[in-house]
Amino acid sequence: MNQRRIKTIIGKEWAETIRNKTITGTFAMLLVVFTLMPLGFAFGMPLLIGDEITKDPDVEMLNELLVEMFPQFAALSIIEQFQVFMLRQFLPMFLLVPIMGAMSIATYSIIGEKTSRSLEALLATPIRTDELLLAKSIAAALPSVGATWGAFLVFALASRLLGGAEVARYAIDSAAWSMILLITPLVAFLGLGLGVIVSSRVNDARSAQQLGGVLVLPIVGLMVGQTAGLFLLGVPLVIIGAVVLFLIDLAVMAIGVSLFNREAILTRWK
Amino acid sequence: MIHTEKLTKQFGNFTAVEELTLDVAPGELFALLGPNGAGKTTTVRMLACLIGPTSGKATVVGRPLVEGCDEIRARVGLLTEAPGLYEQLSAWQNLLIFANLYGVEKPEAQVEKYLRLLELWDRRNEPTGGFSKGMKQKVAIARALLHEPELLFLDEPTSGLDPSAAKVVRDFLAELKQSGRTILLTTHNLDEAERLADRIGVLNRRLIALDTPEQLRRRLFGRHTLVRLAAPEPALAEIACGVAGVQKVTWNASTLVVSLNDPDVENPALIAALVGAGARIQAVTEERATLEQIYLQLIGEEGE
Repeated sequence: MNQRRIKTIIGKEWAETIRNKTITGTFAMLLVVFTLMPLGFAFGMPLLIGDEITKDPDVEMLNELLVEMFPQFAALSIIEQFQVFMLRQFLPMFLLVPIMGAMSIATYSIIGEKTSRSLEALLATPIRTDELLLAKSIAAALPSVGATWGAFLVFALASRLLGGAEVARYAIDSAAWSMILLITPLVAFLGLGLGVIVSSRVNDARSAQQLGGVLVLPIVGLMVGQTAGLFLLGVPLVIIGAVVLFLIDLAVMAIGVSLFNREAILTRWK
Repeated sequence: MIHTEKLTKQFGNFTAVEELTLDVAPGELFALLGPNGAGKTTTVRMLACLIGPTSGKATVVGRPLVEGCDEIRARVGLLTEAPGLYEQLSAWQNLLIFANLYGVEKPEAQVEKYLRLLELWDRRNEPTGGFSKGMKQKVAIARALLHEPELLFLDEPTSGLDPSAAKVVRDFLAELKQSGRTILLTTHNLDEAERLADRIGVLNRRLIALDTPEQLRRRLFGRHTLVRLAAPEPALAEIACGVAGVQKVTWNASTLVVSLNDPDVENPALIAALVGAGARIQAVTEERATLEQIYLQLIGEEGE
């Protein structure tokens, strides 16, 4: 692999992404919303509703569930239990940023090259298709994963500042950290692998985004599952999820690599 | 520089290029002519190692297709049919990307050289999306030349350009030819091919003719000398027929149309014989078939 060529493509991708207001705007909005929303629910609602929140039967039921899974929760006040529950509830939302970010960058990148007809000139250079795919993958995955980790760090620090040490310790425990550190890169690679596959079939970034919309469903399912009390995020669940995702990533990337060869791109991609 | 033997490309059951055999010598400008769908772009893509042949073999810059593709791509330049620039990026950024991809030793200096040569230096920092078609084509030409390729493939270089932009590009191609670079040009523009090319190949999925424009003309139409007289004099036709090398004589109003084996050699004897017979000659010209006539004849024969 030629590092100069890979670095050149990464630089080109980022130079183009920065100039794409649709991507940068959506990306920034997702980060702000997904960081502030859980903080608002966890710390804003008790301020607005006060003690009434502790009398809500649903909150009571979920707190009981938490205490059942983590007996040490009983030491927290009802409000603190609510805060921990809300903060944990929104954790899977952080996975939307890498999957949507990586997919957006990958689809805009490939579809952009298709519509501007720049791929042929690019493929006529000595760059190998695996170098090109790797460079595009890194260019899409790095900002998505980095931004997610950055946003989560802000979220963790804000939780500590607003909720205190105990709330932060229970809300952002080892399960949360392992999910962010382990699952984030895996979903980013899933997003960009699917981005490559979708981009090979369509010529319009919006169509690609719509097809990619189905990707968020499993993550929404995670949130709904937690809310319904079906499960709570724990380290074993994260590890199982990571293994499953890794296998899916391998399959998706294998399909992406098979689609990404010079002849297929020039003659079979629509 | 290019050697192909029965090079064939099929897409499923469709044969895009059939048993193409040709040689392009170093320093030659070779034009590939053909109607839409004749396989010109497919041929260029095969020779530039973008797609693989279905059968046959070829060497480009001395390296075999398929096995030698990494080296071929590094040593040839390709101007694609569409400029295909990164339109949000400047001309400078576009060219620097490709200079780095081609592994150019001093990329900035090389980019500057071509931006100045193609008179784009003053607008180097503007996004190429705002450039005219002609300017975009110039950037694309610079992109194909950055690594100083030995062989240049130009796929429809003036397609879609207005006449003045096309002239700028054509003049630049003439300069490139003078510099001794080997060029394979595909075009619909017969005038362009005639002005620039040393040899022409007419492709309609398979190669139906291959020669210099002059030889194609002779082969298909022969050469005619037109002798315009003050008035038609039937006896002069018999005089002309008696001159060595004359194959056929016809009248077109008051003009004698004489088919000759080699007008350069036989015209003096013909004119002397006519003058000696008292012909009042007003003008002597040579009728030359245009490349358009040659092309239409070849494509027409192919379709029959």
